[in-house]
Amino acid sequence: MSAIQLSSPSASRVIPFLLDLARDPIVWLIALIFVVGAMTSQYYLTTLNLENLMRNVAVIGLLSLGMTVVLLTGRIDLSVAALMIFSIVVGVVVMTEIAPLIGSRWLVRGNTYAGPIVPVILIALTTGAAIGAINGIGVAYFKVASFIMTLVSLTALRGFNYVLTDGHPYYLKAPLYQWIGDSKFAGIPVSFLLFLLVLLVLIGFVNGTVRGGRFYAIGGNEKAALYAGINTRRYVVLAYVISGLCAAIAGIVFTARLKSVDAPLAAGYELTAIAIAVIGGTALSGGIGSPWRTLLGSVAFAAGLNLLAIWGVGTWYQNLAIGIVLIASVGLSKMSRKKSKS
Amino acid sequence: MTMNTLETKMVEPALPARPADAWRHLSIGAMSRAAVLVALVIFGQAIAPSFLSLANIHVILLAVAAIGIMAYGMTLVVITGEIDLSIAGAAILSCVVGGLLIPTGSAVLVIGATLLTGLVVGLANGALVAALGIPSLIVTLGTLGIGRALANIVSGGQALYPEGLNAYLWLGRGQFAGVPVPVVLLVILGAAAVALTRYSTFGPALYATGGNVRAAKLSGINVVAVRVTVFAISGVCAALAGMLESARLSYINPAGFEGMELSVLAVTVLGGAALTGGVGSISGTLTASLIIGIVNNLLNQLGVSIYLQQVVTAVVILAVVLPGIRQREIAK
Amino acid sequence: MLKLSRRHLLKTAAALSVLAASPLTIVPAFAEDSVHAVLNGLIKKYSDEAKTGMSNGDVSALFERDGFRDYLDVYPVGDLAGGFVWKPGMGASFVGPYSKLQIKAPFTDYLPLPEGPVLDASKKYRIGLVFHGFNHPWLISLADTAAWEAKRHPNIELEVIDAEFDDNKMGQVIDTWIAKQYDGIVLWPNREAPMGPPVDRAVAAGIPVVSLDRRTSSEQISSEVLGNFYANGLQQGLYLKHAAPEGNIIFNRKDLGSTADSIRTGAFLEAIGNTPGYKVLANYHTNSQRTQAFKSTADALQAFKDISVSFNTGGEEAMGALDAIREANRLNSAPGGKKIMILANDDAREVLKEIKAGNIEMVSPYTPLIGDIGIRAVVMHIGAKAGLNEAPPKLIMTPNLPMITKEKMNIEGIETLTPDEWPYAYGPEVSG
Repeated sequence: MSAIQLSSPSASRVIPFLLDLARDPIVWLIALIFVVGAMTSQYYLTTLNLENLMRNVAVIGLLSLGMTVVLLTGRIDLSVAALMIFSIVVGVVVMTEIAPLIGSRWLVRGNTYAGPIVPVILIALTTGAAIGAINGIGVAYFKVASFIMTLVSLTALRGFNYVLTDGHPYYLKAPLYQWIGDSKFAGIPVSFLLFLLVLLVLIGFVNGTVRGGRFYAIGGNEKAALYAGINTRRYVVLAYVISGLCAAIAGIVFTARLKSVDAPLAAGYELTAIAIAVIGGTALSGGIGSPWRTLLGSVAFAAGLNLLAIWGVGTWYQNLAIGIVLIASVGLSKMSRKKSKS
Repeated sequence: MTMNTLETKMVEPALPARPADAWRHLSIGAMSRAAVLVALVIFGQAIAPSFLSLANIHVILLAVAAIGIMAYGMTLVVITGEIDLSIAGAAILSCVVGGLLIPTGSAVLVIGATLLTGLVVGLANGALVAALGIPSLIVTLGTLGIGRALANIVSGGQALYPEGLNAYLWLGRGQFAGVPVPVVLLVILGAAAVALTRYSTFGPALYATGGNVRAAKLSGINVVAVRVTVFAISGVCAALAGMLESARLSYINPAGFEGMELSVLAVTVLGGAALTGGVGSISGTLTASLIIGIVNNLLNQLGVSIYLQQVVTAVVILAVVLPGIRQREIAK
Repeated sequence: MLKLSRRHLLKTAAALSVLAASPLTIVPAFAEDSVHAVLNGLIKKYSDEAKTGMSNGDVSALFERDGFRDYLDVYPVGDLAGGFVWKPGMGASFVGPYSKLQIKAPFTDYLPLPEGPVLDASKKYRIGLVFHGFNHPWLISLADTAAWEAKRHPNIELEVIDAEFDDNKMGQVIDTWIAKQYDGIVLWPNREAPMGPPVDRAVAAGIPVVSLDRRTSSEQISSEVLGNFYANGLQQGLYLKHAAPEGNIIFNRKDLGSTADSIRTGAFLEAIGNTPGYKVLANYHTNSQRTQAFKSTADALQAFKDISVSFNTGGEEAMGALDAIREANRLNSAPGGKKIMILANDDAREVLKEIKAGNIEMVSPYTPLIGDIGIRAVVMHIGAKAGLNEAPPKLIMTPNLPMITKEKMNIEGIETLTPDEWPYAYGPEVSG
């Protein structure tokens, strides 16, 4: 796969990688979107719009990356969007509960969180990993179907988001949070850089290590993987932990942009994350896909929607387009795969 | 590769409809569900004196009628190893398309157009899944969005009122021998679905398609036809259930049925259907929808906040699903 | 900067409005007998009474539990901009560009703008309206009035986008408009917290922003066109007090934490908090959905045989409650064989039909027909930026509207109107 070359670039590998890239329909689709965008709107290639685009990619991209790893093992994670809000809520709630113990008060009037933000981030990441682990254990050890296990998590977490916040928002205005949400580094939004960092780590792990390769083995043929001596259960739990961590990081990026967290936010984003992974070529049956292709999927998705938004296309027609593109992209890749086989 | 796209291949692939196995599995799952149902009824009567009153039984049954009918269709789809996320989109598009004919004043036309639209959506799903081999999760996720978008576009986002269409309203508000019509339909369709799955030649074909596609094909079963049929049935069930709700409120809301697909799926799985295919029963689905209906009714009677209800519902699903799986493991 | 809480900021904003419009204080003499002033006076009266204490333990407990005081204290109540006095009958009639329904918008003379080109007639002004719910009758009507006002001025180009109740998407739409260098933005924010930052970014980019009805957490926002939630909930309470000194109430409320729920329910509780005869039986959040209100009411009817009042924060909820009561054959099941009183908000045509039929007791109008004010306000801000005119006030109150009842009544000085006297209803006509 192309991504393997990317993780250890050398001159001899760059050229085949580029050739691979040039043959990839999704790359052409992205190029087409940008060319059409540049031709039809003077605003499409402006710095501001490209920054918007990168920020949009960051959140959905992070969710889709975690989803991709789970899908590689032939499973699914419906809890990601609820978890992304839940992890931040837990971070804030835990810190505000701790505050009185050390004689402080971190939730000031108006529900603004005034305590230290780094512990909130750490608790959020821990929560993401922990819920991921619970999902994974339920699926791998208790054999609950992944769709059900994570649907149950989705329902419960959405409920908890309300129970823990009483429906009130928490305002998060710490400087570090502002930096993550609004700042740029070398002209690129920090949130997008965070996404790229996670992407590189995942490419390195999933496509560059033996352990990472086991996700493919499990998704490709689980029984064979088991007979080959792979502790499949442990890797399934690991996949969910990665997904949970990605959801928590997505939550940080998401709430840093909004400078607040609110129970009902990001409803339905789990389905978007699945759609993006699939548009990027990840197969729901497992074993096929890669973080790198999910990057392409999320760029294609966000760039397409951004173009429709620049054109001022109504939301209903945007949704219609998403549905058709989703079915068509999978249908076409199915057909091309059949062709290449025959 | 089979169509069991989502699930682990660690679990033994379900065998093509071996009645003895199927019955053993069903009885274990059915027992735990029945136990939960009985416990809920006893608990309910203990804490809410009017729980077993005829009026409250009507309330519970009316509340589960639509979700139960949708879940019948979903169960058939899940038994074949597929999934149908489009039901809310199919329901709302069907109701809106039917609703556009309200000015004709003909309830027959409105009802016919509603059911026909559901059938068309179901056939489209079935064709894309069975003929082109696109995973059903993707197809129906796509048609969910498309259905909702088209419902908005054709209605202009405006609610429609089937006022004066008495035959249509009767579907939601009428009674038949003292029983509310939606409940009658829930029972009749349940009986029909049981007959279809257990006592017709379609039944074995259905379970075989979900259990082991290759074996099914080798034994001469037309799996494409089976898949298209179950999606078509699911589309019609969605349209009918949507119509019952719309008639009950005399109100067709293009923004309606939000998130219904996941509730219906939860009921289906709670009823014992496995997403790996080959396993599931209509009676289990009906029991599961009653469990959810009773839980919601009781929590509302107790005044538990809707947000906590979500958490409780999640716990109930796990509590019912887990023992079944454990026992299946032990039995192996 | 960090120490400034939202509530603190809102208080500052409220204080500013004292300067602009003297809320809850002396009312200019010429407007004293207007509906708006009468209702503001009653709001102050009952709010003050509630602050000194609530004698009804049930009501007080609910009031405390959900922290209504925090919300009510910062919700601006004040006079209308430019000394405007609204009287029933005012406004313009037209066909809604989106709903294709006949509309009479009540406030078209408020902060008026003459037909024809605005500001610099040689320039084109691009304005964006972002809201949620192009398939929700209330919200379509909001967009209708905005589009109507925009069409009156040939050099305004209006883009209308539905963010489908995704606050993050609404932020993205605003960011896109910043990139497209729009001249002005009008928004209907779903929730306060998430919409503050995008609004701040737009204002920082020099684009005037006006919010409609609900609020954002932005302190930089150019203007807020405010609804009259306070008068809504208060009138529901006053009606109940007038109709019956006692009653067992079930609540169908909106999303916990939403402004509409906090202010309406809070004001209702303030109004009845010092009458000992009311009991809170059950309290549901049905999130503006008719089907959910239907289910909770159906279940409550089984749990309680002595329900006498159904309080609803919205029209959707009231319709759902009515359908459930009707289905259970319990219309007249309140103690003593009396009718269950349904109290509603939102003057949808279907709700008025039920008022006429005597099935819903009263409705506090909450008109969506305020989009035009937002367009006019944002145009004035664009003009003020170019030095062409004065800017409108930061807080633009909309006139308090009197409740609608089947028969004409006078309740604590409020002259109620009958459905036939109310030409401003929105939403599809219901026949039959």
